[in-house]
Parts: sequence; C-alpha cells; structure tokens
Amino acid sequence: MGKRIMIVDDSRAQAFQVKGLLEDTDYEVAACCQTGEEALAEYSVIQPDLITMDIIMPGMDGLETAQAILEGHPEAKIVMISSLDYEDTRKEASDIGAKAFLNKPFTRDDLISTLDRVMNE
Amino acid sequence: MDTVVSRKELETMFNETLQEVTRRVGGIRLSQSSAPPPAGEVYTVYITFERGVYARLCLSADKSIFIRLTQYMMRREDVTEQDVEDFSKEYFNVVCGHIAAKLFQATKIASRFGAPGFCSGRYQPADYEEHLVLSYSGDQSEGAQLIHLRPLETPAGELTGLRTDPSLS
Repeated sequence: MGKRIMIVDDSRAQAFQVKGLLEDTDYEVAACCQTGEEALAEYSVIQPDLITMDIIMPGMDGLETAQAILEGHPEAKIVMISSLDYEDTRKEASDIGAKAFLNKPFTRDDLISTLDRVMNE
Repeated sequence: MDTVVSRKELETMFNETLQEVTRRVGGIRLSQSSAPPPAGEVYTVYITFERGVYARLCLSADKSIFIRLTQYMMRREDVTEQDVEDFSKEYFNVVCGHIAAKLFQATKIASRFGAPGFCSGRYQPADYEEHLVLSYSGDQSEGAQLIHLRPLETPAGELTGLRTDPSLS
C-alpha cells in the first residue's frame, strides 16, 4: 500500500499539480484540505503518513497550522511548500518541527526525493 | 520609510524573474519588446504586496498566453475558464514569490503578499499609479505587459512603498 499524503493548499492548481506529480509513485493522495482549519480537523481522521503544507493561506497560514498539528501530534511529518523562499521562514518552519521545505516551482524528482527522505528519517 | 531600489535594478529583477518563471512553470518564452499593449481579448492577473513593501504587480496579456500556460501546467489541451483563472493565479503566485525573494536580497525587507486576483481586461485601480511597465512578446507573437503599480497612499496615510531613487538610475 502506498504512503498516504494529505495536501494542504488553498490553491486548487497547486494541489492538482502535486497530485499529478505523485501519480504512479509509492504515494497516494488521501485528502486535500484548502485551509489550515480544515487540515487541523481532518488530521486525526485521515492519519496521513505525511503532509505537504502551503505556507501562505487565508486564515491560519501553513506555519500556524503545522505548529498546531505538531502540538497534538508530534510524530506528524510535514513538508512545507512555498513560493516565498526566505531564510527566516525556512528557519521558522524548521524550528516548528517541519521536516523539509520545498520552494516552488519544483520538479517531480524534487518532490519525490524530498518525500522519500522525510519518510526514511 | 521608502525603500530605495534603483529603477534599473527593479526592472532587471522583474524581467529576469518573469522570463525564467514563465519558461519553467508555463513553458512559454517571453522576450522583452517595444510592442504596444495587447489589444485583443486580454486577461490580467495581479498580486498586492501588503507587508514590508506596498505595491501591486499585474500581468496583462493576450488570453491565449494564459490558456497555453494553463494547458502546459495541467498537461492537457481541454481547459475550462475556471482552470485558466486558477492556474494563472498559481503561476503568478510563483512569479511574485521569486520577486519577493530578490527584493529581500536587495533590501533585507521580507515582504508578504496576498492572494492573487484575476480579471478580464486590463486592471486599473484608482488608488494606484503606474510606476514601471515592461512589454513582452510571447513565442507565438502574443503580447504581454508586466506592470508595477505603487499606492498613492498606504492605509496609515503615510507614503510608503517600493520606490526608486532617480540618482541611482
């Protein structure tokens, strides 16, 4: 059975692209959440192996959502995704406990190698 | 406080980023040109920088550019109007993310921007002025313009924005 991914992104386009990149891989998309609030509510239900989390979202942003999920589920594996590549944002994500940071745009190889690395940690 | 960046530096930053991201994300080569603004059916995608830097960036282009970009991103020919809007917004979100990163390198100001907007036609908000307009031709002779708008005033009433210093031009 594939590793189950939860995509958290307010952009339908980005979620579509991540889904496309994960086709025919060991990963399957278990859920797509368009807000941090939805992700927080769904995490316990879905129990994904890994989360890809956009940073800039209306309402709770990705960093706040990641922090809230990790407070309740320290074992959660979260990969942050953003077009905003600031060193302080990367550090903040790392300090919160996110396992990796992917800067958009990324290739299929970038995505899969990052997910593989995080899953094998 | 105004952020001082030379006009030339700003133009280079916008130009390099737009061309690179459009090629990588949308599979379209844009070349700078002196062509007039696109005159046919035009769409505009725009983003407002609202923290650290106050500015609005718009890309107005022939509808066909946005359709081609969406087809490339979705890897299929049949795309809907909603697809074109959603994928054009995502593409421009990436463009602006990379511009914000370059602005940070130049100014050490970490800007933030809001959700992208999309409309049919050109976008001309009353409370902004055009500061920089860069014209492009697509590889199928489509027209496009990247327009940097700056606010006449910030919400606090203080003139603050991404401005250029003429002495640095």
